[in-house]
Amino acid sequence: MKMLKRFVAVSMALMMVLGATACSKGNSSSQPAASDKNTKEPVTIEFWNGWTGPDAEMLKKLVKEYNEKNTDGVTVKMDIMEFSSLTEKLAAALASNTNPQLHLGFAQGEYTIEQQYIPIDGVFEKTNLKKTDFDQDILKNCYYNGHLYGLPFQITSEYLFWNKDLFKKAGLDPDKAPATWEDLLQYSKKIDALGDNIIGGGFSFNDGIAIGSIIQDYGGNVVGADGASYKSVLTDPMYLTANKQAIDLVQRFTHQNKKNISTTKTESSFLAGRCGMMIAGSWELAGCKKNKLNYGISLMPSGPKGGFQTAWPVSMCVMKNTTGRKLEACYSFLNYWNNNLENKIAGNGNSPAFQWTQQQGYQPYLLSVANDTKLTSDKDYQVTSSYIKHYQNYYPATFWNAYLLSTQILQPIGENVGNDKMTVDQALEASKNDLDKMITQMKQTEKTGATASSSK
Amino acid sequence: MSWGKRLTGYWNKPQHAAYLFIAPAVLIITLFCIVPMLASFGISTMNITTYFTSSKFVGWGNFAEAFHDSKFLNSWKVTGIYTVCVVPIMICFALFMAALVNSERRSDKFFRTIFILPIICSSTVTGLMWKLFLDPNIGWGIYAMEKLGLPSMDIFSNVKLAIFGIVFITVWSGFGVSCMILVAAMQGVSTSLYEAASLDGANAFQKSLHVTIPGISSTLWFILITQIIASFQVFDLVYVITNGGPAHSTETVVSYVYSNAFTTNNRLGYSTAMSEVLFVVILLVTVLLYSRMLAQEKNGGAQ
Repeated sequence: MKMLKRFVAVSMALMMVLGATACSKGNSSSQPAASDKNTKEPVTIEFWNGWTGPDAEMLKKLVKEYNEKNTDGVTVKMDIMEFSSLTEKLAAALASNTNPQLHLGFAQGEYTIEQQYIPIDGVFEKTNLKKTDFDQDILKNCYYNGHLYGLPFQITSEYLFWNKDLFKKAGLDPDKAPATWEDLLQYSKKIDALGDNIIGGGFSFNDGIAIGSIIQDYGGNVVGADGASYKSVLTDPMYLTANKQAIDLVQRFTHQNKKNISTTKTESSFLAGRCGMMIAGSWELAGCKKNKLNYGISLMPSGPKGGFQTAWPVSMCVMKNTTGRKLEACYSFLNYWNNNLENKIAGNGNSPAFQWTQQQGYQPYLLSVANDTKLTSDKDYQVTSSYIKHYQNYYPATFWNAYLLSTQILQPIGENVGNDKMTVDQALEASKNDLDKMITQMKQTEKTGATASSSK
Repeated sequence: MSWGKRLTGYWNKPQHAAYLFIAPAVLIITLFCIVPMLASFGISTMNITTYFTSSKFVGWGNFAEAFHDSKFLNSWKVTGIYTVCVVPIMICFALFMAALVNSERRSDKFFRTIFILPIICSSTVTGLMWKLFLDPNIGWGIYAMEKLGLPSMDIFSNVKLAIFGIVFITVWSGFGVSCMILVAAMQGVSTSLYEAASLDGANAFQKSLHVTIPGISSTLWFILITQIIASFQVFDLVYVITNGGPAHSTETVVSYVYSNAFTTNNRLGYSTAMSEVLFVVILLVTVLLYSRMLAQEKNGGAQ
């Protein structure tokens, strides 16, 4: 009995020791080694982002290709996670100076103001990238205070998708999208009447981007310039009537759309073939094709004052504490991603920037990609790329909290009026107060960021 | 006597040696509880980001701002509604179920095991499971409701219903533990008291009211205090299911603190100030309830 007790105690102790060693950080076996041809000192850089779902598979494939074929001795270790986890993890990493080297974010955003991103002005001299191949209007969004803080990664705009089979069933022309937002309401009502768990769809009451576009299409506005700064114009007399008309449409649509479905659920229903219309990004094209839907795609409907398309440029940025060999490695990866003219790894015309547009449906920011006939002959691309002719945002170009504008200001307007929690006037007033607070906070952050940078 | 002998002689005495044994625990508590608590109070007096940049001493400024922040006040309202619903429902339901399974029959033991099963799952898994179950498009729960002729509804997208959906899930996942504690307490009540009550002609309800409940009152107080503290600190279910939406109708105090610190504003100082307010409120409520409990026990003892 004594021997048995001793044996159990020793075994437990051994298991604990082995468990502790197994927890130690080691090289992941999924990281391929750099090529044997490398003569440069091997270096590993970390790349964090929140591009999950089908985008994640494409990103992993492209990063793996770079790791296997690059001759710069660079290994990119990518960590993809949900945005909420990413934000939390990144905050702790930045505070403890253990942050990754590469990140996908807004080059004119808070990370730049707070100096968590570093300028990469030297990228065009130290790589084979040609600045002239970049769309200069889009590249402007990557500059802050005269310095380049990232290279464009993807342009996100939203489009109207419709299910042609459901249109036909509802007695609508399957090849014709609703031209105006009022038409969209009528179409949605007719498709809803089909019953059998089919929903008309359209836009969701919590889609901040669609609400912003509707506001613009009615002649309204959200954020205006105030000298070098910004101001909320949600309840400004110049825009109030138009803003109220726009939000009234959102409320009418939500009342009509009895199931009160959110953006995520509209998208999943559409891909399942049970929803007539959805407003979504071009990344949904892959899902529509995969599910063999008989779909149509067009720019968003228009309003009395026109049809405007919002677009967000997301950039690939380099984070603080990246110097020397690691900065060189980041430049090497940026070159691989964007060198569409002479990408030696992927081959001419098959750069990741090209593939990201061709296969994932995002808009090009490189002129050589935009003019490539492999793309221009695709009918979906002809639609999605035409957004540039109607491009206008509901905030000044330098406003760097555009993402939070959509989720914290416009989305609550839709939720409040859609759920009858507030009237249109009350919802606009409440969001105006929140926007004033956001702008005050932004001014304080900019002031502190400017002080910190001038003290260096 | 040499210093070494004096020292060993001092620490060898049982009443002194005890301090040596509790020293590691005291050190850990000091390092990981007391010091962070004091540090958080310091951080709450500063305007500082989550990346520890842009720091500026503002004194009570963050606290003053919090009491004028309509969203912070809304979060207290949501937390209040949540607590007022969860605590009494949880305790009453747990008490009722404990009364039903308070015997040594095999069936009662089986049901006691079933009731405690939800606690095995983490809150994240529980939240995701119910979110899918009640999804209006793919949820089996809503499908079953439709088949029974009830109206289909998207509970977690409805500003009026979302918080009650979370209340339901909290009660479902948490009542088992309270039930087990109450069963143990009930089994500790002397049977002679029930015999005496029977001799006096008391029925089952009267026995529960006048024998069982007073007999388990200290356990009830314990469950009440712990459930109130847990309700004030609810976060994981809310985060997983609704993330504070729709329209902030489920944004509890901890959810709002989290979003301010990590999602929307990256304001660590302000978020810490709000969590200090939460700490003070929980402390006051706990002290009040605990004093009430002691007073009741003292009165009960005097009788």
